Formats: sequence, structure tokens, C-alpha cells
Amino acid sequence: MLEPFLLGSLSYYPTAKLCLLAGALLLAAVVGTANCAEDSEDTIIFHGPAVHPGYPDAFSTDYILPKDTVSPDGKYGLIFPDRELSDNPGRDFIVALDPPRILTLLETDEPEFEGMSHGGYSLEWSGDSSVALVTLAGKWGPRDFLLIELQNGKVTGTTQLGAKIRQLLEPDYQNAKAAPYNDYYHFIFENQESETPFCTLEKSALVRIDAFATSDPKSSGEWRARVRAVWDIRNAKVTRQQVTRLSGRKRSR
Amino acid sequence: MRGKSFCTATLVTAALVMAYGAAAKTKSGTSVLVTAPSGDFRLELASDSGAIWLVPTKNPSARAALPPVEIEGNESASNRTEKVSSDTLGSSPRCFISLDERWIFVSRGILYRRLDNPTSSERFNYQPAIADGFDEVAWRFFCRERNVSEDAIGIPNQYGTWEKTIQFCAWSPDSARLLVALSGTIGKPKGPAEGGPTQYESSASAWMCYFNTRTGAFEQTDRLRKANSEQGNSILPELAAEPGAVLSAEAVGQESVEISVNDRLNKADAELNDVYRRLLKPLSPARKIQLQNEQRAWLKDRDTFAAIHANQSWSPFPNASRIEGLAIATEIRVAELGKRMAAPK
Repeated sequence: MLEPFLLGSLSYYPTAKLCLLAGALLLAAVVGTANCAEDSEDTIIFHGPAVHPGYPDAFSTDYILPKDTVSPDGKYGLIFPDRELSDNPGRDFIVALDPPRILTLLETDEPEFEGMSHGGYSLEWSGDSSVALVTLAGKWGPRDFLLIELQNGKVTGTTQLGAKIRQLLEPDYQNAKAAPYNDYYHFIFENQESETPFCTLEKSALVRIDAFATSDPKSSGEWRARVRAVWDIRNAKVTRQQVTRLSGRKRSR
Repeated sequence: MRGKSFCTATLVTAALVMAYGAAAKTKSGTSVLVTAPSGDFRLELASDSGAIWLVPTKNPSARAALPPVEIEGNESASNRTEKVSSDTLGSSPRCFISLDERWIFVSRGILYRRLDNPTSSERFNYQPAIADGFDEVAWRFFCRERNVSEDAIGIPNQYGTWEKTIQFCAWSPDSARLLVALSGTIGKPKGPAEGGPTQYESSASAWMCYFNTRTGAFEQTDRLRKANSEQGNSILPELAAEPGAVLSAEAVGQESVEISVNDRLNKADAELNDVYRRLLKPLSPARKIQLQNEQRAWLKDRDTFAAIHANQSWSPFPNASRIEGLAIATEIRVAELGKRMAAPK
């Protein structure tokens, strides 16, 4: 659905429409031969859509596509802003590689960027490349989980899995009457010594969840809980869940 | 604020970090910065220097470096600025070529102009457009308009950091105007007693002006005067459009007021709600669910489109640019659904 958008957007610059269209066509014609930049050992150059004629392509100059995010079939990957764009509100995107297309942005409050303090990412693909599980790292533990479903080069579903897991934990947090972590989050995910991933894909059907959360990672007496659950990808719902309070005392806010 | 332009206050460490970022993209030693609208040439950056190379598409071996320019820098991290050669800088520049390809703006605060009436061998001969330096003359214009002493701009603080930047905003469709935004500190730094950011008498934050390529002079229009007067340092809600944001450059003779992106989005949203409701009303329950699902999917596509639009616009006003992207996507959706309504059943 993006392609009509991009062509359609030209009609909003009526005085430059013909020039832009001609320029865009010419640019498209030469881009295949014009790019002498090669992929590095760890990243792939990605060319974005809707480049204004004569302007740089922000996606090839200011984004990186790490090779370790590429799907098993080599068709998809994850791009995020590099250091030079890191002070800007750049977003993260799931992309198709050949031909290069941006498929969807990651719906997260804190997008990843190169060199992010306490940041990091991991991307687990199902063997058939139809499901991607993105885990974004934070200071104390994962800051978000996102699930993207793909079929025939198109995104067929996206799930803010981090928000779903938070929903599972929220009642127990409320019952504990613990002080919130900050103004935005009641609690955060907290890494454990075992370093076992909180979310793991089982083929393209399920996500097995075993996550830990706390309202205060600096204190041992605050609310802590563990949630074990199964997310059914096809039906987009939790099929099993168990929340266990690990610690927490009642406290007036 | 989008940091697309060269920040002349970049310290050596920051320059090295950025140079690493640019170099990491390629192992061939060059990276493509931009391609000309016609596709006749491209600009490349060599990873082993800050030189910008113009490479003709049909004859890449005839490549030539854009002439370096002396610009204000602070590579030694001292508390005074000094002139440095633009091709010694490690930061990756952003280059913007006008539609007529006679002009190249480099985010180090440099404007290049193609030789007039070039011979075939001079077809790609670009030289600095202003002998005194584009950045110097731009700030001189700012100082005159704002009645500020030129010496008061961008004075380094006790740590040697300073702010005096020129950001690219847009080329006008007729290539007659280059819209830039100036940001910098004004006055002497007042070091805080115990830590904290350095305070200055005042500052310029994305103050906009045009460089008129026909007259060779900087200028403001009513649109820019109004926008500059609306800008402030107030704390905005997250993702709200920046006050006084200008997203396009006016062609000469086609000056007009800037349409608020919020108004444009609100109007498009209202139209979409209207056409969506009318389209939904007569549908069977099954078709209604189908259209509702389609609309949910479109909302995600809209957000993706807006994020792409904001990135590729290179505006120093990224929030306003994103909202403009939302408005454009919504207007296109209104047209799509409108066509569907008008189609024979």
C-alpha cells in the first residue's frame, strides 16, 4: 500500500510535479549503476523510497541494516538509525531487501539506534521467515518485544507483544500497590542471571513467554513478578498464563 | 531538532565517531552522498578524507573533488574557533542539489555554484558561490536582521563547545531560493556555578532565511518573518509540530503563507471520517468488518508513510514533517475511498 502513497504524494507539490516525477524516474533509472558503496562485513546498504530529487536518501546514508537481522530466506531485515541520526526521532523499520521496500515501522516508544545507551536488539526469525520476534534491550532488561508476521512480501500482522505482557502483569502490580517505576511505566522488565530470553518463537505458531518484571530494579524489596505464558500467533491471543509474585510489599503511593 | 547539517562545534571525538559511522557503511572507500536529479552525476565521500568527489555517471574516471572551503571549526577543542579546511573534517556531510543542478548546498555551510555557460569540459565544474563564505554571509544577515553583534554568535564555553550551525531546509521548485535555518548561541557564556548547561544571553533556534540564487543575497519573506516570530523555547508535547515550522521554500513570485500542518491534518481527518462513515453505512455486516480491518491496516501504513516522509524531507522540523506526512497519506486515502464511493455498484 505504500507505493500508491509515494506516487500520490507528488500531486501535493503541483508546481514541481513534473520536475519531481521526471527526476524521480531518472533517479530510479540510474540508481542501479550509481551506487558504488558496498555492503560492509556487518551491514547491508539499504535504499529507501520517496527520495526527493537532488536530496540524499536518508535510508542509505543514515540507517543501518545489520546482517544479523536478515531472515533465513534472505528477503527481510531490520533497519534503524545510525549514529548520525541518533539525535533525531528516527524510527525502526522492517524492510524487504530485493527489491528494497519499507514494509512497516516498529511500533515502539523507544526505537533502537546505533550507539544507543543501554540499547541493543535481537531478532529471532521463524524457520520459514514468516514471523519475526524483535527484542529491544534496555538498561535493566528488555524494553520492548514486537512481533511481525509476513507473507508474500507483505506484513500481515503486527503485535506489540511487550504491551501484551505488561497487561498480564498489571493486575498483580496493582494488587501489590507498589510505587511505579517512573511517570511512564509502572514496572520494567528485569534481566535474570540465567540470561534466558524472555520470549522465544516456536516455529511460526507460538511465542513462549517467561518474563520477569520489577517496579524498582535497584531495590530487592519492591514488587517483582514472573509471567509464564504462551502467545498464539495465528489467533493473536494468550492461550496460557501464570503470574507469580516474587516479592513486593504494600506501600502507599 | 534534526541534526542534518554540519555542526561547526563538533569536537574531534565526535568527528571521529561520525567518521567511523560513515566508514562503517562501505569497504570500498567511498560512500554515495547524493545523486543529481538528472542522474548525470553523483557526489561521493572518500572515507580516508573529508573530500567530496563529483563523479560523472557516464565517465566515473573523470571525477573531481569539490574545492575545499575555509570554514569555522574547533577541531582542537579549544575555547576559540579557528578556520579549518572543509575537506579535513571527518563528519559525513549532507549534500542537496537544486533541481536545475546549478547549485549544491553542503551541510558544512557551503554553497557551490556551477560555472555559467559551461563548456562541455566545464559541465561539472562547481565553485564556491560566495567568496566571503556562505556561512559567514548568512550569519551577517542574521545579525543585521536581529540587531546582534557578529562577534556575539557562537562563543565557545569553558569546555570549548559552541553552537553555530546552518541547516538545510529546502530548495524551492524553481531553484531560485535555498531555505536554511540558523541556530546558535548569542552573547558570552555564563558558566554555571556547579555543573549544568552553559547559559547564554540568548540564542537562535532554527531561524530561517532564504538565499536567493538570482540576486545572490539573503532575504526573508512574510512567511519566514511570521514563522521566525512564532518560534520559542517552550517545552512542547511529545511529537507536536514545532511552532513556526516551515517545510517548503517559496518559488520567486509565488510567495504565500505556510499552511499549518495541524490544520491540514485535521481537515483531512474530518474528510476521511465523513467518507468512511458514508461508505460503511450501506454495507452488509461481513463487508463492514472487511472495511474496518482494511482501515486498521491503513492506519499502520499511514504511520509508516509519515515516518518515511519525515526522514526523506530532511527538515529541521521533524515533527511537523511527520504530521505533514500523516496529512498527505490521509488525503490520498480520502481520494481512494471517494473513488470507491463514486464507482458504480
